[in-house]
Amino acid sequence: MTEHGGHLDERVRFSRDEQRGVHIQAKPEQPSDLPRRTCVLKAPVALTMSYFDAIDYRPPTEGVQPTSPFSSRGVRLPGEFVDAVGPEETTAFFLMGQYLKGQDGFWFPYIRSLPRPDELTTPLYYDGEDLAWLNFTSLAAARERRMQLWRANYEKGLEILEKLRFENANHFTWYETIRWSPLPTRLTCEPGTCICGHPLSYHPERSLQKFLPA
Amino acid sequence: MTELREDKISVLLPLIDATNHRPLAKVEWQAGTESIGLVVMDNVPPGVEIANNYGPRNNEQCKFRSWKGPHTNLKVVQ
Repeated sequence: MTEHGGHLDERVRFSRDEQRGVHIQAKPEQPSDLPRRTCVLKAPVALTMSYFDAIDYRPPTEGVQPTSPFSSRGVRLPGEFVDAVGPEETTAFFLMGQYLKGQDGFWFPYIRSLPRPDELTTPLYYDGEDLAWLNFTSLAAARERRMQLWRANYEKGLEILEKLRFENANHFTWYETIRWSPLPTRLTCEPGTCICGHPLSYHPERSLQKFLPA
Repeated sequence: MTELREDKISVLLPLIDATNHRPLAKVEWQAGTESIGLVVMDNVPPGVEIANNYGPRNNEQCKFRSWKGPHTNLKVVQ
């Protein structure tokens, strides 16, 4: 992270406990409060992962050929696939492709920090007694709809990859991986304006955009 | 390629996603072309957690995503 320009304020640290898991806090030994308007974290756009990377997006700029912070980093999904499944599913397959690269992947240090399939505890991973309990609740129908939707999207995407003879498309057949991949993309994601600074149709007056929580 | 709606694109944010979500956390995101920063908008006493604010999410989004942090006001009806 620091190699690529990331930053954690020196008055802040990572911490961990049972209730909150890994989290960030102001260092206890600080003599005073961390003042408001302190930038506590800074992440380089180049280390984010999104649809922009999947499509090797190049922000349009005038003048000198721009260097883009976005790169597919060795997972080049076919354009026909991207157009057919849309941004959300493209991102899920892209993340899975990066996951399958293992230690050779650019995002390996980050991906290995994400919850593994066996660590996820959302209703989509319920089985046995937990699932039986859920089936008596108001969430059961929503869970079923979500599972059917993801399964349908997965099968559609895989069919297209196989039709296009995408290399190693068969590696995307691991159902648990496919079921896992959409979750991190919804884990902590935020709309694309916060990394691009502007939508794909470039607006020069918005070169720096502040994203304010709703 | 057709123009994309910004709100259709999800982004994974390393480092920033280490923060827990707290619905009333007063933070500001500063998004530039090179980096994204998380800025606290209140003083933070020593030892206190710094939380993020992912904005409003409906029940389904909260239940089917592994949000880091407490989920309040979510009712599972039996």
